[in-house]
Amino acid sequence: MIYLDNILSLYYFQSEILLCLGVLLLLIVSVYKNPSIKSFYIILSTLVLSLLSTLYLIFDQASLSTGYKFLFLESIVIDPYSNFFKVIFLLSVLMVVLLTYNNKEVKREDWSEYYCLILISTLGMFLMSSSLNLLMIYLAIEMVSIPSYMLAGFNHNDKASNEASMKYVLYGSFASGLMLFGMSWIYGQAGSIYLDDIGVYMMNSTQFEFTSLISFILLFVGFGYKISSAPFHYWVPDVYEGSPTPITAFFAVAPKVAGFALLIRFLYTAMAQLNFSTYSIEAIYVDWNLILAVLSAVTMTIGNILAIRQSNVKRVLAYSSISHVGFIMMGFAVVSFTAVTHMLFYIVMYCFMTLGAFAILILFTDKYSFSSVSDWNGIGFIHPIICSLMVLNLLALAGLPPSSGFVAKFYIFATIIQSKTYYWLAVVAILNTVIALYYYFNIARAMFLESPSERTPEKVDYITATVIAITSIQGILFYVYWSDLYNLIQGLF
Amino acid sequence: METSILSLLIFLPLLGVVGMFIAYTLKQDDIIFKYIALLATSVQLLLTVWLYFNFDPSVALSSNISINPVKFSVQVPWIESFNIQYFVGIDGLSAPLVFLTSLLMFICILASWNISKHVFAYFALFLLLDTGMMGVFLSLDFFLFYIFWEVMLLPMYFLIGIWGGPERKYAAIKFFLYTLFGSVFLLLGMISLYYYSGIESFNLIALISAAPSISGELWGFQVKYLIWIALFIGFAIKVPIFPFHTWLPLAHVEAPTSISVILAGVLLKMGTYGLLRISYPLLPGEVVAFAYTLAILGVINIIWGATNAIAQKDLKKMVAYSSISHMGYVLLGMAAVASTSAAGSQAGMNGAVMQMFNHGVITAMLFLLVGMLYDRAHHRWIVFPEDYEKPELAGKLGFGGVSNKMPIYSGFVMVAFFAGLGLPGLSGFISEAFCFIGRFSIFKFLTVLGTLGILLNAVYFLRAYQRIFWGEEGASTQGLSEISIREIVILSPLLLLVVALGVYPAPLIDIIQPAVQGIIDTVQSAL
Repeated sequence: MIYLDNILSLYYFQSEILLCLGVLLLLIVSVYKNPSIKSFYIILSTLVLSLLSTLYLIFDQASLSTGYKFLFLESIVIDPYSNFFKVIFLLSVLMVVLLTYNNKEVKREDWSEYYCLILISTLGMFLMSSSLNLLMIYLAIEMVSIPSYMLAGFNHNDKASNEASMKYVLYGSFASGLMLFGMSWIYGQAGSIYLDDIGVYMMNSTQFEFTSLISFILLFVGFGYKISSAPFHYWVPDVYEGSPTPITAFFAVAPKVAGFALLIRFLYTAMAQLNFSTYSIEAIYVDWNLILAVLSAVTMTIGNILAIRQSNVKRVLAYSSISHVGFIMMGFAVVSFTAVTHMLFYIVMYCFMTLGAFAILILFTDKYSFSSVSDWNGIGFIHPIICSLMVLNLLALAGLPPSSGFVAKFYIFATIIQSKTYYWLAVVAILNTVIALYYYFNIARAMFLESPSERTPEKVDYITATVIAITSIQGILFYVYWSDLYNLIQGLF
Repeated sequence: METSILSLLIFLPLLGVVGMFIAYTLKQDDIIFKYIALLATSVQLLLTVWLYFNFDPSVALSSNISINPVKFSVQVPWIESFNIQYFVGIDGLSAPLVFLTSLLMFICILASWNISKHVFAYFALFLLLDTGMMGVFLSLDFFLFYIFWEVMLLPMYFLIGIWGGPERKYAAIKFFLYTLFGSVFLLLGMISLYYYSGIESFNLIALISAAPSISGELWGFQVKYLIWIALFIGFAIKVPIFPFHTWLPLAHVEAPTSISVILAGVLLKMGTYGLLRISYPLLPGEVVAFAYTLAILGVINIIWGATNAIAQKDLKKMVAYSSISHMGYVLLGMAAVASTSAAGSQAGMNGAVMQMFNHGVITAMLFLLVGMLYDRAHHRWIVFPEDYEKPELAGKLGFGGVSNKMPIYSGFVMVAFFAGLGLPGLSGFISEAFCFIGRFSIFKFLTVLGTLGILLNAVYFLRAYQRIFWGEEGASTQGLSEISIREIVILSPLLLLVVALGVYPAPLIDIIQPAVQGIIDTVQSAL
């Protein structure tokens, strides 16, 4: 453990600093004439540089040998866990940015503003994955949320987009208000905003279980809203539907993953007592695993059942993302390092398959202005390869072999059964898998089983095709061999 | 050759898909896909023939002792962190089914030669299906088994959904949802076995000795019992055992001919194969406790399938229900494992495995024959239904006097029907008789009830034969033409098998017997 002062911290803060520089450059460029292509290159290079510097920090022998780095008076930690999430954020944001390049939903003249907001949001997600105190956590969440509100309403002249933004703001501010209230409760009890100190307080004050429970619930409103767990999921479908599709893809992946990164760290630092020498959990406070297990079952069931009746593909994917959150939360039912490993594994797979599905949705929405499932009729025979990849992504989302989604689901089930408790959750989850298959394969049915409507085939550009290929092919890749990825995640803590 | 042959059997069709994809990107003619598929399946068939001549049935994988390397088996680690292996092997239980699969695949490729809609997709999916089926029969690691088990669903969905009959979309999703519902329970059972057995392994051979020691309770039940139920639901839906059978008639009727053949010929066998390969050796105590229920379910299957078949006006639907009835015999034979008489349990189990093979051949023939009639007449009504699109035909016979127009065809149908109703001298009789003999040693009353099924089978097969082939020529009979050389070539090997195994079943029994004995010994250790 190394504690660094503000100046020395900056070296380890380099990937975040690069993102800040990117934001500043984008702001400067936006006053020039024709900023669109310039800002595209700026964000591209910012993301790539930030990725490189993160990787450099990961592989830097000096930083590896000395373990965790606590920066800025223990506000922020640089550890393998946060680095892992940073790589995920950067990769998924990179995919989203590439998908926007040929997309007409976000107008070119707005690009500098649009990319600027995405970068700020990315910076917020970086902080979310590495915050160690409540103040940092709150700031990080707001740093992700506020640009997101603006992104949701990015089609200024579109009523649905405005509605999405408005709903997002209302829900978001209410949730963060409650979360702040919860934080004040915790601070009032523990006398500290640092997660470690809160953990120590929780350990010593078992007689105040009830107040701890209330503060946990209030805090979870904020977290739950960020990861869109039930009952804080109501904003998801409307916001997803109203936002421009590339932004929906962004919402479905990056902030959600950041929410999980934060939630896992919070629960395992402040609400549980770990023993790192034996890799075991000594104690957990306020039985959050039971609360989250119930919420997990509710979330996945609500997500799946409501998805059945949806006709708009964006809404289907929105509800599907809610149900996936339920599946990931199954991992919270069991408090162990294995459970976290399996959750992270699921999260990685979720990112890829959701991005894959959205990449194809973005392509078709752009080329043929698709909205409802019936628009997809017969498209499978116009773009056979892309639609086959879509089937692969749908399989992965449904969690069936041959796809990486199956492996992810398998591990989550294994977590539950290994613990030999919460069997009911496993049963709820398998029934949900069957329900999910129905609405995912509604899309597959439309693509291949319905007779095609007349439309002229459009050419697919190379950038979008590449993104689709990268995000979809992993579905089969991680199905055939995932050992190394699993070991990598296992080595994070 | 010895170590790679099983992997070759599994992945050869996949290689064919790759070849077809290359041909597709090179914008080749449709006919090339057919030839690639034919090549892949014929090489596969030759490999299984080679396997047959080099197969040593005396080595049983299911015996208690053998983790020793068996001939042909391959065991390499796949995912080390979870102890998942690529473990394939073959014994007397899987060998007949492997042979059946490759034979039916070859025949079905020939039978679908006239496909003209999306040729590449059809044959690619067909070969993918082949990989899944071979994988299921050859894997000895539960995880691997499960993966192949599920891989089949996707091609099946599209094969029914794109090339099927008028109700194809509904049939496809119903099939998919039903089987998925079963397989998720299978998944739960599989993971529970992994953790509760205490050895953290999916190796089915290692689990034989580890699984019976599972202890613990859940919701007031033995964990072992719950695992048995979970596995049973998974397998029962595939068989299908009453009351999980409702997907079958729809899927079989809507699927194109070749797919019906594969569905009835191979896919149904997977359920009973899974029970014999996994549930029986791993959970012997529960098998013994469950034998009576299994016997009752078997009888219900026989009677239910047969009575439903009698009521059908659609020939294909009749054959589909006859499948349900015939799978009842398999269950019946399998229930005999709990019999205390050695001869009884042997006869029953041998009969069950033989019936799996024989029914595969017979039902394949039946579906092919129905398909040939449908290709010519474009309908397959035995009797036109009341709500038929042409009201003047409603209630009248669909055909009649076909034997005058198509004598060779009628000959084939006659053999297939008689084999289906269990006429002595044809293969169906031997296996059904074995099932009854075995079962009689333990459940006397149920067996007597089950023999009713033979009578009911005869009712619908003979009545259908009479109505279609004899009597006056109906309107649909006029334009019929005799089957072609290609169609005779397709049917002949099946006909040969039906007759040969009916007269001299010893080659099949010799292969099955040692493996089945291993399973019986394992199960009876729990008596």
